[in-house]
This record gives sequence, C-alpha cells and structure tokens, in this order.
Amino acid sequence: METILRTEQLCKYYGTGDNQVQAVRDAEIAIQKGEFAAIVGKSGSGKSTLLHLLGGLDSPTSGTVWMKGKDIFSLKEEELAVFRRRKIGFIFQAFNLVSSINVWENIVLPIGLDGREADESFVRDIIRTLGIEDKIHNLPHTLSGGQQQRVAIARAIASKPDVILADEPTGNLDSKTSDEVIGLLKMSAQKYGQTLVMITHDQDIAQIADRILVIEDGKVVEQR
Amino acid sequence: MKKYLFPIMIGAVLLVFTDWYFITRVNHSYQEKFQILSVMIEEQEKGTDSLAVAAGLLKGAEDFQGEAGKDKLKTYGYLEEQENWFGLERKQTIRNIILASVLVFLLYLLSLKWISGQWKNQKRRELGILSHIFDQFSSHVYETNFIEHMDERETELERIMAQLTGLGEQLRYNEELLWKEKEETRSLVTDISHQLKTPVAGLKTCFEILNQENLSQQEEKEFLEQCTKQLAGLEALVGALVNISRMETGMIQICREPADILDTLAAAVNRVYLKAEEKQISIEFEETKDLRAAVIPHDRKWLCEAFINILENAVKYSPGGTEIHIRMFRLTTFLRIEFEDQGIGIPKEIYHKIFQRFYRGEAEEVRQKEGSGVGLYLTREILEWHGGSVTVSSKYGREQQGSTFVVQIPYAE
Repeated sequence: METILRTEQLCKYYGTGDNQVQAVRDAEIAIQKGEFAAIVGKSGSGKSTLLHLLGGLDSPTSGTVWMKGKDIFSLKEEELAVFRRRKIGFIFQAFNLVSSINVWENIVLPIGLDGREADESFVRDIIRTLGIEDKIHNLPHTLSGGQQQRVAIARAIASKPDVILADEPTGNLDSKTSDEVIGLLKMSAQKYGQTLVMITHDQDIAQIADRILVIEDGKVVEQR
Repeated sequence: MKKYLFPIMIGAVLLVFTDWYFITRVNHSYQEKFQILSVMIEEQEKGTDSLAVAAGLLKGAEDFQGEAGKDKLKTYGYLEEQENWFGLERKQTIRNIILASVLVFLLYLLSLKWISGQWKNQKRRELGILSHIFDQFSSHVYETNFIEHMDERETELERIMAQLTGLGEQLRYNEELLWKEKEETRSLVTDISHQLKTPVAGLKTCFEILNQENLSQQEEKEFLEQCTKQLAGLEALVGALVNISRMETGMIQICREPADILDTLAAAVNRVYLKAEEKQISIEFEETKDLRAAVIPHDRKWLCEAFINILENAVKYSPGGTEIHIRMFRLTTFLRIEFEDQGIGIPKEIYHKIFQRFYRGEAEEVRQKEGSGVGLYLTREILEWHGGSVTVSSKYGREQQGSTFVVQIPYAE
C-alpha cells in the first residue's frame, strides 16, 4: 500500500536545559492511503503537538514530515500554506467555524480561498451524507455542537484533500453524539477515499479506527 | 482563420488612423510654410524689414494677411506642388509614412502568425503529454511525473495534471486494493488451516487412545465423550469459517433492502433465546420512545447474524440469572442500538482486539468457553459493509460488571 504520510525522527522540544519539555520524541509514523488511524494519548502526552507537526501548522525541532512524497518543511511559507489548503483538511475540537457567514458559505470557504470553483454536486452529496441539508442557510451559532461539528467535517471533506487531520473532534460532544460523529467521519472518509488521522484521549472512540497508535511522553508506539 | 479576423481588423483600423493623423500633420506644416513665405513677400513689398517680420511671426502676431504674397507666388507658379521643393518634400514624407505603415502592418501580421504557431505548438505539446499519460495509464503505469508547484497562479494544464495525478493515484490505489484482497484471501486460507489443525489433532489423539485395547469401560466412555465434544467444536468452527470465508472472498454480496430493523433484531433474539433460557438470562427490550418500527436498508440475513454474534457472546459470558438489555435510539444519521449485559466485562486494553480475526480473550473465563474468535470479527465486517460501526465499552474491573456493545447503522445508503 502507498504510504501517504510519513515522519522521520520527528522531534519537538520546548524550552532548554532543565526546563526542556520533549513534546514529541523521535516519532516514526507511516500512514497508508485510505487508512483510518487513531493516535491516542492522555492530555499532555504531546498528541496535539504531533498533529500540528503532521499538518505543518508548527515546525519541528528536528526531523521531517513527508506527505505525498513531499518534505513539507522544505516548502516556503506561502507554498506550505497553499499545500495545506489543497492537501489537508482540518477538524478541530472547537469547530472553528466563521460565525458571520452561513453553513454553506463556511463549507465552501476554503475552496474559494484557493481560487477554485466548488464542485457543487459533490458538496451537496457530502451535506446529504452528513444530514445537514436543512441547515445550510443557518448561521453556525444557531446549531447544536454536534451539528456544528458536522459542518466542520463537511468543510474538511469538501475541498477533496488527501488527508484529514482531526484533533479531538468529539471533545465537546456527549457520548452518543460522539459515537455518531466518529461513525460519520469513518463513513465519509471511506466513501470519498480519504485518509483520516484522528487524535483522541479516548480509547472508546479510538477502537472504531483501523489502526491505533499510542503516544506517551512524546513517544509513539503501535497498539496491537 | 476566422479568429484572427478581429486582431487584423483592429490593426488595420489603427494603422489607417495613425497614417491619417501624420498625413494631416504633414499637410498642415506644408501650408504653414507657404503662409510664412507669402507673409514675407507681402511685407517686403510694403518695405518692412524682413528681420522685423520674422520677429513679429515669432512673437505670434496674427495681423499678417499674406494673401497678396500668395497671389504673387501663384503667378510665378510656385504653388504648383510639382514645382517647389516643399511640395516634393511633402510627397516624399507621405510616401515614407505609407511605406513604413505597410511595413509595420506586415510585421504585425507576421508576429501574429508566429505567436499563433507558438501557441499551436504549445497546445500540441501539452496534448502530447496528456496522451502519453493516457497511454501509460492503460498499461497500468500511473506515474504522471508531475511536480506540483505550490503557488497561487495555476495554469489550466497544471490543474488538469493535478487532477490526472489524483486519478492515477486512485487507480493505483484500487489496483493495490485488489492485490490486498488477494493477499487477505491467502492469509485467510493459512489462518483457517491453522485453526483446524488443533481440534483435528485433538480428535485424532482421542481416537488413537480409544483404539488401544486396555481401556476400562469408564475410560472408554470418557474418551468417547471427549471425542463428541471435540467434534462439536470442530463443527462450530467449520460453520464459522464457512461464513467468514464467504464474506472475505466476496462470495456474499451484502444486499441492502429497506426492511424493519426491529424484525431483524427480534429474529436474532429468537435464535439465542433457548441458550439464554437455559442459563435463566432474560433479554429485555427497554421501552424508549425510539423503540418502534424503523425501516432501514439492510441485509436481513447478515445483519441478523451480526446481532446473533453479539447476543451469543452476551449469553455465553454472563452468569446465570442476569439480564441483557437492548435499547434503541434514533440519531440524526444513524440508528443506534445498545446491547448491555451483566457479564464478565472486557478490559479497556483489548477493546479493539476483540474485533480482530481469531482473537480470543486471555482471561480464564474466556478460555474455558467454546469459541473460534470469529463472531465479533464477522459482526464488525458486516456492519462496515453497511456503512455502520460496532464498538464496545465495559465497566470491567469496577464494582459493577458487564459490557455494552453499540451498533450504529446509517438510515440511508
């Protein structure tokens, strides 16, 4: 299988000397195309830092991240921004929707930022799959947490990225809604052939993934 | 040729316009020269100093007439264009202007032709690249060698190449998926033969011992019982393996048709009812407002199988006299069904393992029971085929025990 996302001796340290915090230590990860991988760790284990490094949102102390055969930190600042926009979809715990525009506009916003035309029938299909058809003209704040996260999922999928990175996507949701949102994420990633990497502290949620990686004190190991 | 008509017309009109402008300028200057000459002649006759006339003209005095002077020039025939130097010069200049403009126009046409040629070549080259890629695709080579530049400006070709690269990846992915399926079938065959080895060996040993003649009646009976037990285990295993191999090798097509899921669930409960009754375990449908007919596209036979596997485990790993609760909730996209038992529970570390093929728990309680490690694996497969999921949570290790299996099935296909 093709490896779509790979890290080589990835390290991220904060501070120096005795105060040094090793958030990520020598992470060696390989994610295959089409896979759903969960990275599980307690809070403070370095899991969010790891996801930020994978998505090029933060630069590592040392080591490399390869996505689609490209060393993403060899790209210039503007190039990396374009790369992120085209190749990666992000889903955050806090949804990060733009409050002044409606649901449909939120979903197609990243495509518009890239100067492309939204594939309307594709976006409509996603919206139908996620069950937010009757909400597309609403403003985000009129929706429940679960609905807002659906919108964020739709936004991440709509620009047809190769990889979707989700950071505690169910952190703000009750357990039934969490199960549903994760089920939806899996179903849609499967349907649209996207690779999904999810960060969570919750083993219950992680078991739905094809593969579980555990991060502890910055070290990443495979759970078998 | 039609598409060049417009730029050619524009060029011609522009040229005619500039020509006309320059020729009027030349004519105007020719007339001015004669005006000056006429004035000088006229003023000379009046006896004015020629320096004073020149100074007057330079200062912009406008009271000079020059009509008489012009008449004089006319009488000498100097106004005839052919007969004076200025006229000849004017003619020469106009000819030059026209010549130059014709040259410019020709150059314009030539460059137009050159640019269109370049453009055509470029298109041909681009189409050549594309057709080369298509050729490669048809011979199963999905490399486009396209290096995407991550900048804001993107040409049409780059966009198409990016799409083609994506398509190539998709095709390769599909091919690899097929290959992986083949590999899985191969590993399945290995796994199955491995699974069959142990009970067959056990059975063989039993028969060998039975064949010895120095066994007491009691011993003989014991070994016969042992044989029967091994055989029953083997039978169960074979049944499970048949299911799993059908599933894995794609011999079964999950056939989703709209049907009432409650019927399917009830059928599954009926299948485990006897076993539950033996252990005095009661299976309760919990009354919730969501417990009513729900028509969902699903494969009745296989989803029933998935439910049976969950319920069978619940009965198998629960002590007598306990309860199994089934709850149903209608969520936005999925129907959620919970199966809660009061059994031995499952440690958190193995939540994901119990759904793996041929995995069996390490605990003593699990080892004692008959099982092939296939049931939950099959359940997960069946649900994934439906676009749904199955997960477990357990109160293992706390005062209360028991596991809850959560099944999610999407309403729509």
